[in-house]
Amino acid sequence: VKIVPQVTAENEGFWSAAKDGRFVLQQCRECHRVWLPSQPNCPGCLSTQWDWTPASGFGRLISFTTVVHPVHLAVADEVPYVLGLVELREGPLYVSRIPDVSEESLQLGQEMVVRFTPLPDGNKLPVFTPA
Amino acid sequence: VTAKPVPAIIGIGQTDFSRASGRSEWQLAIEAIAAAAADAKVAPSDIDGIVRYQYDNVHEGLVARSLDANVLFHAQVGFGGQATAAILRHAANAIHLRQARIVLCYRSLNVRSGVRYGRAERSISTDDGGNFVASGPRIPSGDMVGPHGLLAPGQVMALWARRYLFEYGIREDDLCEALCEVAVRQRAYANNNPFAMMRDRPLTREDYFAGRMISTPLRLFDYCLESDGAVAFIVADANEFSDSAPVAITATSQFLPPYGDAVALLGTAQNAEPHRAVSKRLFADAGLRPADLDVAMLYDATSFMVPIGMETFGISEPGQAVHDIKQGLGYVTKPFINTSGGHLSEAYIHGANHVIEAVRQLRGTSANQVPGARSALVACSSNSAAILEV
Repeated sequence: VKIVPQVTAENEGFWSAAKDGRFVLQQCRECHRVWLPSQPNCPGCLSTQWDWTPASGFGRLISFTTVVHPVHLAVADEVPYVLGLVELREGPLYVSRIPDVSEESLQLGQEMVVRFTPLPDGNKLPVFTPA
Repeated sequence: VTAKPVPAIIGIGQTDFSRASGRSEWQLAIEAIAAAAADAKVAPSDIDGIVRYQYDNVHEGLVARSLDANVLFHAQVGFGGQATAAILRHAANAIHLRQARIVLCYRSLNVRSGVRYGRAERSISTDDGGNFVASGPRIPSGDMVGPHGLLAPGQVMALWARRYLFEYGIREDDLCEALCEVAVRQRAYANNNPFAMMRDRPLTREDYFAGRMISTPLRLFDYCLESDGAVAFIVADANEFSDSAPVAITATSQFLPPYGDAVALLGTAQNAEPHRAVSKRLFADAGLRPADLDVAMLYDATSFMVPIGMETFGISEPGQAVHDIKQGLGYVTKPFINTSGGHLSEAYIHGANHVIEAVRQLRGTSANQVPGARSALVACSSNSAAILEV
């Protein structure tokens, strides 16, 4: 993986937790709703008081694709690679590289679990693999 | 007392569609606008409203200069191709409210010879350490998805396709047969269409399945073209411009649900209930049923947008479009879909070429004319839609 995320005030907690091997969601202090991707407020009650809270790290694979044709130089030597759409156990959808698999071994609906893969800037990327 | 305004498209114009226009986007826009004004029988300097795609590099100030026009109403619609029918909605509202008399809409792009939307160069930057950096909330290519390698809309649509298989238990082979049918039928339309980039390039079923895989399950011919060109149209009161072959804008809709901006992936699927509710209201506003449509121009950045779009708009029931396409719905039985060849085989003018094909059908001047066509849907998913009638 060669593309790094731009860290912002809103996503910093996600990436710093990932660096420590933790997969986290935003959670509202008022109504306890969880969400991802990061945003400045709770979509349930609009509270701006929230925490990064540990997630189960499990989800269900609801789609996947093998990218054969690279659309950027950064991934030209990584194709073919597999991307999945994971419905996290807590509800939000998460786009994930699925490393070290061919799509023939995947089943729609199967259980997935998070692990962490290094990024070139020293951070880590949470990715999901078959549980 | 004057009659209530009837917003209508009174003129259409375009340039040639090509891989390398050799002209600026500004010049292309003006060529299309001049053609649309001539078709509408209006003086370009009498244009007093402009509604355009937020993505267009040719802003309304440049157009006002070029036309020597005094503009009383102007607006932009965001999120790329979602503007397709939304610009008609805003133009029609301006006519309803008499905030302008002659409203111009246009889209001009050199996205084949210039910055290509199918690639990720416009969204991935490099930092001081030489790393590639994904930034912003956009999906694809933003900070949460770019590092994984989700970089282009065509990859998102591949994920849409397999999510659809999962939700409805459809076999991938059956989906691919339906997508092949879409690609081959639209190419056949393009082969009749003098404006189409693929006019001279037939496509068979064998060619389709021989196309290289781009992002599974989508192959080369499931993807739209990249094009240089421009399209313009003019919206005004049909009562005032009855000599300009007006095509009435009967009803319009927009929809922006959570995560519905740009190429949506993290929200509800486009044939889900919230989306269908918007299309039901559109048809109710028009006093039509989906089965009454003669023509449907469905935004087709990939072939998969055709079956999912059929389900969004009630042309097919959810989970049924693959079956219906194989039965000939859209090609043998009405509504006839993407009769210009669409983005797959005419050109990719970001939806605007779909609008002018709908107008040609309702004027009886399409290269693939549906006999007696009276009503047309133009839509970009549920995000924007319009029903046009004569």
